[in-house]
Amino acid sequence: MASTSTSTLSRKLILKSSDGEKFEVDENVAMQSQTIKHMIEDLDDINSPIPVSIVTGTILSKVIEYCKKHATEDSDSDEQLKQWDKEYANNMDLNTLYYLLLAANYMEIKGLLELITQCVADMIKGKSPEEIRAHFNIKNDFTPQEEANIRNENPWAFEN
Amino acid sequence: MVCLTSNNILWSSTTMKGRKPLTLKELGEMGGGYNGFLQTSLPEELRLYDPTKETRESAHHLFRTTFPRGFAFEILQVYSGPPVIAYKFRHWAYMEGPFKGHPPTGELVELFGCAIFEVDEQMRIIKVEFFYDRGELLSALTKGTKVEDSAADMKMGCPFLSKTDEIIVEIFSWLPAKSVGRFRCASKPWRSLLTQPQFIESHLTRTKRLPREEESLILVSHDSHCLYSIQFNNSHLFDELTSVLATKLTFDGHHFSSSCLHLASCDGLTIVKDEEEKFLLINPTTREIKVLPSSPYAPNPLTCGLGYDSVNDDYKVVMISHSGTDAQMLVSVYSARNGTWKSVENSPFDHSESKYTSVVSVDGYINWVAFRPSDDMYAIAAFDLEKEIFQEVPLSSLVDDDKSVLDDSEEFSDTDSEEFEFDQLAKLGGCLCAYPSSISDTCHEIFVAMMKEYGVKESWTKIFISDFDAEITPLCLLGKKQMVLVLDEQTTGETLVMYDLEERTVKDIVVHGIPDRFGVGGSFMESLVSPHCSSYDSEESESDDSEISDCDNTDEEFMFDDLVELGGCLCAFPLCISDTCHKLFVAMMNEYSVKESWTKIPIYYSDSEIRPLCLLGKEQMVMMICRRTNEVLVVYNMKEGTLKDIVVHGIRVGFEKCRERFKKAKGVHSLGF
Repeated sequence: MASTSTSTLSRKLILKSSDGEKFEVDENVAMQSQTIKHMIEDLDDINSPIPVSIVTGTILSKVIEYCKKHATEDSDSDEQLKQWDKEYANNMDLNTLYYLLLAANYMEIKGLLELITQCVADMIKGKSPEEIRAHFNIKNDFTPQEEANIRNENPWAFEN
Repeated sequence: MVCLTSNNILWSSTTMKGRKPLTLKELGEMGGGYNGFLQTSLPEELRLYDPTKETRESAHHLFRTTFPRGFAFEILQVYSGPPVIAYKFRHWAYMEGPFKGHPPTGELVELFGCAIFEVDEQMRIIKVEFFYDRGELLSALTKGTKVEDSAADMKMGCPFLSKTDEIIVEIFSWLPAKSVGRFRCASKPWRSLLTQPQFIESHLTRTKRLPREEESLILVSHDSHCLYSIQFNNSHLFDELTSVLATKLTFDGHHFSSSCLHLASCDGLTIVKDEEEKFLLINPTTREIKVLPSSPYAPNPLTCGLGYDSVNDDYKVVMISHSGTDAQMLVSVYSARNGTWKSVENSPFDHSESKYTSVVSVDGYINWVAFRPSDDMYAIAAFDLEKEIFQEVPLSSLVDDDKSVLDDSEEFSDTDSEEFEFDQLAKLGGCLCAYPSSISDTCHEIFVAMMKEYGVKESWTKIFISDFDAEITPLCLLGKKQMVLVLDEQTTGETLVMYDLEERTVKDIVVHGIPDRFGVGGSFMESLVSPHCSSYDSEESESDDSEISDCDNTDEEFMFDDLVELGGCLCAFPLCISDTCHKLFVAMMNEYSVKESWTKIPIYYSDSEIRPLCLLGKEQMVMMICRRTNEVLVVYNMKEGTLKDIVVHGIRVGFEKCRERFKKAKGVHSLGF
């Protein structure tokens, strides 16, 4: 979680998405991304927009929404924050989740990455191999014999 | 046969038509081979590949990506000999990587051309002319419809598969072991990823970090001598009656006596003893089993524990045995990684009662209740799995402890502590706990003492348990408020119950699926850890990150990032030279996948990057070295450490890319080796 020091006035940074959209954010919000943190260290002029090259404006706005929530050490208790995280993740469709995941990984935002990977894991955990293949459009490259063998070797995974 | 137009001439030493001739200096400034090769006079906006915008590095990176297996060159036919050598050539490769946004086709990309070399009496090149159609190459590379960068990631069916393995590991580490087991059956790439030791480790790490809302028990049936497992989870917290279905754990040919109590467990592995007194290391989740050889240092086994040594990344079984004659406590340690027993220093404690008490593994220590020899009092003996010696867990601050798990738990006072006699251990919520197995007449407050931070004596805290008129055996905590325990009442016998620490209420747990009476063997957490630790070694040696064993202490600095086959052996070498390492060497695996067979071939010429290509006999190695900005082909004498340049006549283009494919190309002789 970012440290909010009240002694220094929070600087503003401009993040630029891959499609050119610009976002002005407080430094402590942006600094939750390790990638941006490192970029700022190397940057002479922090007033120029920081390119977030693989993230589109739509996704970047969602990332910023998360970072803003987690940057403020308000009266929110851990429980409330968890609840907020849950609602935040539940409101995303699969496609958005996917791009958010890419963005969180690229921008190195640990909390967001954990939130989304856990959300995806919850979506898939009860599924059978057939369902998971259909869900993610994965090709079954086992021969029927190979698949039968693997299932016979791992009966524990198919109990109950 | 060879179509020539003015645009197709790349560089020639005449100015009669086509591109302006280039000197080697100019070529160097332009950015090397590819840029010279793909010169164009087309207007900028029409250029598929713009040599003026590419550097030597970017051009090489681009073509290395497009042709991962290299861009080979061969001479098809020589039309005339010196002093004017004319020949026909072919440059070819398979397009297995993208080219400037165009997806790979996987197809053969060919470029035919013709070259004229003029040489002097000493066979030195005076001028070179190449004739070919650059469009032939570029059109083949741009066949596929160009995709935008962001969409390129979506080209595979499964969006989550196209990401790095790192993200897949992130997602799958959250899954219960059973889901992982099922998804191993989804496809070959998933199977391989989800069985890797690295994945199993990160899955275990995450499972341990999660709030403990899932706990499992091993049950032993009294009559049929079978093991069963039951699992508790979140949903059991809110039901009026807790009802669970037991799963039978079958291990071929092994039966278990009902005296299988106080089983030692660690990271999802459990030690059980079968009816033939054999010790088995099992994973009750995945049903993997490893029969341990009997310890040659344990004539009269008293107790055995299991724990993880994080320093050596090894699961260790510790057996304590009575010596029989001189009342010594013999200790032997089995390493799951090595598969062998060894004898270590005797225990200073008296473990003669340990047969009847539980074993708890916490943070690299195995803990038993034992008698302290100095005063014959109960103490907690802790075996340090790394150092393989015994220590004692500090207890004294139980007296003035003022912390508590729950608000309503009561503080230890002087009078309490005197009456507090523990003789059993348990692991609850990941913490070491001590409790009394019998109720004393003087004390009607039953409590469990929990060491919240292992080894820190100030962290002992007491968890109050309502005054049952029964003996208790705490088994595990579910979340923060529920405890699963066995109540042993004189009237009704043993019952498995769920106890609410806050409400102080008791709910019965009904176990279905076991035909006869059963006892509780112990608790464990579900994991994918394999009892066959040693099998990791063989897997590792096949992968790129194999340990280079035969390379003395410099191997810490040995970083390799490319592989080559030399003299029929797999070799690893670094592409770049690090500042810290001035001893450059190539590591050779003399016998494939035998870790001990790694040997190093020192390269004394070390102030440049090298790329070994092949061995000539036993002493000579052909390699590319980088001299200033050029890559040069040399023969290195491994015995004498000397270098000889190889002068290659007849070619100056795309040299680096040909590499070992040189040897295989048909016209290799005419290159003048």
